[in-house]
Amino acid sequence: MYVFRRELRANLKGLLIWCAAAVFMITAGMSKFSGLAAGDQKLNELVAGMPKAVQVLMGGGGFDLTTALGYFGVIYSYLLLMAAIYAVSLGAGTIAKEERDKTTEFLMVKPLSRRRVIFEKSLAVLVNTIIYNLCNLFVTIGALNMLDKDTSIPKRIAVLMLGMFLVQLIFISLGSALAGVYKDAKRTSSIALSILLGTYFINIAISLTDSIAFLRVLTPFAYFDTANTLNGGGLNGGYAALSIILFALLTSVTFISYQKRDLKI
Amino acid sequence: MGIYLFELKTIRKNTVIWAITLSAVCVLFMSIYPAYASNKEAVREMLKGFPPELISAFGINVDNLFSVLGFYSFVFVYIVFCGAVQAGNLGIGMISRESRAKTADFLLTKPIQRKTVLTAKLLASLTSLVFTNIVYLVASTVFCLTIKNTEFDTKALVLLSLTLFFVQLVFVSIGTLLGIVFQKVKSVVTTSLCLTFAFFALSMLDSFIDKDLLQYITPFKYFDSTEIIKNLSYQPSSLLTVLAVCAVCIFASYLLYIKKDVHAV
Repeated sequence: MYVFRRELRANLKGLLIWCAAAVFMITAGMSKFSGLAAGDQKLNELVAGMPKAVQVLMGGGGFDLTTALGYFGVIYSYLLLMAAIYAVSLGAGTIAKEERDKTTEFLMVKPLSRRRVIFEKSLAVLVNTIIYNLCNLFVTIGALNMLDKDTSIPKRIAVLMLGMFLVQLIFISLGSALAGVYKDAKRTSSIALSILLGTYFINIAISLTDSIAFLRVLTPFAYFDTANTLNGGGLNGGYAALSIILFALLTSVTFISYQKRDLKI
Repeated sequence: MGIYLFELKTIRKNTVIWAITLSAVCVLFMSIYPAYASNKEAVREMLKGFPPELISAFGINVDNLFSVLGFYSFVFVYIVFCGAVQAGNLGIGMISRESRAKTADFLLTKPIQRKTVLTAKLLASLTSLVFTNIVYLVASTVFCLTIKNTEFDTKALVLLSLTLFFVQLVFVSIGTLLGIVFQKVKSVVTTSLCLTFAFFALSMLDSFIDKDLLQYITPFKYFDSTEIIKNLSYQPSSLLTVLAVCAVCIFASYLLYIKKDVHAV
């Protein structure tokens, strides 16, 4: 398990920075809420009656902004984007960095099969992802607890973060699959991040009009309805299954293609 | 001149892809507009249930909310986000590309001063941005004009679209400085995306940080689209901020690059 441990250590600094960024995002965002909660009750009532697209345009995103939980929904959309960026760069980086840093030969002459190397690397990435997700979960619950003592909140946040974890799984496997297929590290990260931004924009477009709701399947950002989850509804089973299938599929692409492809030395 | 042309050739393909992408994002979002605007009557009906004083006190104007320019200024935020990533890529990649490709010593042993090298590279990036903006400006304006049953002020639209160029100038300057300050940039795209997202997230926390301060901190808040639509001109302070940030970053880049310790292979 040396590769696993080596990877964890190599990713530690990045993990700490990303966690700090998430903590900042949550605390800064929620401290904005306490100022907002005081007035504007009427405005929120008024906005709540409007079609969802209009609410999105006005910055509310279809959430009840008078409650701490609803307010968190707005922040969550950015947290999800952050989690996805981290996941995709983690997944792509773990494989691509060896070729970028010219350490592939050093690694590959070790008495380890490529399958084993990928396995340990993926495991390390998975551990990082879980730690990042838990960090989000605990900080959110802590921050919300200070604003609203409702006991049902931690459970709803847990379900929400489970959804985020599934989205993270898709993106780490997407990143590593691309890195497994393409030799050029630069190209890998460009393609991965364009897919990420592309799906993010489709998500925004969907929120602006119902007429293109069929595109939902294309973008992991839209798989789980945040407002619904925060109201106590669970995750959509079909999309949860789809996430896991995508994860399995992309992970097998990584394993199969990386074992066969030429290494750039 | 040789360096300028070579740089142009290196970033040519990327520039074309970005110009097309930005235009495509604009077309994608604006093609949703008719579906979005169909909500107008429903909202008007709904607002009848509220006293008119209340509605005007909150600054809700149905005509503005459903105007082409109102919708455009909402989606334009995301287009500027993309444009900022492009500019960040250009800036960060400019100098760090040489060390990553191990061509820095080849370039710097030529009988050319370092400041000339930097000038040529900056000019090439500027050319790329000018090209991108011309394509974007034409594509977005033409597409918006083809939307049926709407009337809007073309000058306001062009002024809004042009802020993309200014924000990109800021990001290319910051990126250049970062590319010189950092001894080793592993992945240009990831660094640029994180830089852009950090500023983007800051612009979302508008009441957490004092609003008057924020409009000087994050480039996404330098220009206020509501003011531009209303006054049909830029605030002098916006342009001055752009100028100041660019000047400081570029000046610092020259100072640091001339003395920078560049590793030979």
